[in-house]
Amino acid sequence: MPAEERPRSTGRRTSGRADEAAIAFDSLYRSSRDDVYAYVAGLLRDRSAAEEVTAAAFERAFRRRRRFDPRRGSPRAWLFGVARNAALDELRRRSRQAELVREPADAAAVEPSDETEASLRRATLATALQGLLPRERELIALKFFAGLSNTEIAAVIGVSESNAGTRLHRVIAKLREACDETA
Amino acid sequence: MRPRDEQQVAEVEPQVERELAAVDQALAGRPVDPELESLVELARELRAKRPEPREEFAAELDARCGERFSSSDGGRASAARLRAWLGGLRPAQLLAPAGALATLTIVVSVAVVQTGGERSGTPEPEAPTIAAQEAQEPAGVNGDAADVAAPMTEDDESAATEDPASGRATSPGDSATALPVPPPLPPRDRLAPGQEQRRVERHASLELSADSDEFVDVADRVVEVSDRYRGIVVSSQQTATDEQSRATFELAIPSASLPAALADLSELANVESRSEGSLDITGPTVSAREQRDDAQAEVRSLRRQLADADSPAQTRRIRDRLDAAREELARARAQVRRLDRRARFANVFVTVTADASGDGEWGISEALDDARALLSTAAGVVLIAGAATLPIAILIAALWLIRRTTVRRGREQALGRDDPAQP
Repeated sequence: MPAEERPRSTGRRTSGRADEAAIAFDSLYRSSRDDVYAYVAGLLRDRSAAEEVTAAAFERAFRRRRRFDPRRGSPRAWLFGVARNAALDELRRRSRQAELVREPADAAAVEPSDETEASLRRATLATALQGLLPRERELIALKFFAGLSNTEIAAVIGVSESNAGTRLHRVIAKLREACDETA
Repeated sequence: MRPRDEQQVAEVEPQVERELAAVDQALAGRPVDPELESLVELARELRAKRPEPREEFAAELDARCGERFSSSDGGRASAARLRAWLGGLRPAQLLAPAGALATLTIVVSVAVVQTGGERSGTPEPEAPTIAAQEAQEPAGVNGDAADVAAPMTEDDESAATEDPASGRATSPGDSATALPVPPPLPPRDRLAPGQEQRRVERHASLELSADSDEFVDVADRVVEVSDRYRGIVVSSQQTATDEQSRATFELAIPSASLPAALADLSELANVESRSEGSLDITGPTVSAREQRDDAQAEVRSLRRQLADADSPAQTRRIRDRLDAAREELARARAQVRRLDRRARFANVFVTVTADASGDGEWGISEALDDARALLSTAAGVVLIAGAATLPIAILIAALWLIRRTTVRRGREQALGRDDPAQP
């Protein structure tokens, strides 16, 4: 393991198991940090809230790292489950506030005057994404933003793998239909 | 579902799998079937929309992770850590401290109750005080020679009625020439046929065994119990040999307090034997009072005759009869008093023994006894703690389940609430 990826030493002697657990968490964090943020941001559609929730999710996962049961899924799926709960708690806590102020710039900053096919398609896709239900938006975020497999998505949302695949396909079909109608 | 729909589903599923696989391949950068090029393009466009974190945020989060999410934000961070710690606890981890707290509460409560019970003693006895009783009784408890043979004096004779409480003569009224008026019967003497109040004489015996080093203490406590219930130590005797120490007590305990006194005495040491009995003395009491009333009437009658005597000879004869009647009245009154005392006080015989052979020694048998007592106490505490902890544990588990269900439902509803298209 590269030196820059080694966990910072606390100067105290710790047990071998504690070191392994710390290293495992650090590895999980580094491999999932951006994916978790992307998922949370895609679900909440609010960057500032997404930053708070992402930080809270990792902190919560760190505190509960001993509760992880490998028999129930992969560490990554467990982490996204924690992040999902944190994001849903944020949704519960918020009032019916306005939705995402601004989509990521590369997708939202399409000027109506730009009539290239690609730009129109991106605008169409953005509009279609805006129209998704929160559950549908979550599936897109898990699959395309966070890069989870169908098995991991099923573990995160608590359904069977076939059910998760069916739901995901339905959302994709909906987006395709919206894009094809405009095309 | 209609058969045609089922067929359609069967045909769609392979297509679904194929398209999902194509999405995975596109996201992984692998080549995909050209027929699904539009799907691949969509996947790539969706992937391009992935939000990326700010560099400052990423750096800050990296630092916090390196510090294991400790923060210098004072109370808020402490509260957050407390919440996180509490959230990280398994329910089983809460049971141990809850059980320990419940056990401690039970032990303290039992100790307080027992200490308070010993300190407050027993209910106040209802019997009259010994001083008041001795003021009424000339001697002894259940009567003796002096009590029987006390003759009537001129002062006693002048009384027309008796004190209802004690049976003694009260201040006289003018009864020498007036028509004889039956003295008012005291409440206890209203023993008309069919309306008798039962008079019961109670007795008990108790044999206690104590360790040799506790013998003196137990003996002292027997007297304390008697005093506590306003009883009288009629007699006591202690003997000691090389093999055994023995103390015997004859107590007179107010009958109303007998059960409580026996209970206290039984707690002083090991009870080897205990017996109780009673004797209904209602009949003798009624008879004795009737004899007393008759004797009193006889005395009154003779006094009137004496006042009306015409000659010295007649006067002497009446005086002789009057002396005999007075003696009879005194005997009758004494008998009534004895029977009343027998009903008011119970005889209690207490024997305390201790084997001198075990003095100062502690061997296997004593160790086994102590171990047995200790295990019994420990088992009782565990049982009580379990009985107290179980409802608490059930309550905690129920609350945890309710909270968990409520939170889960709320989270799922949050996905459904935040929907601009939903009505």
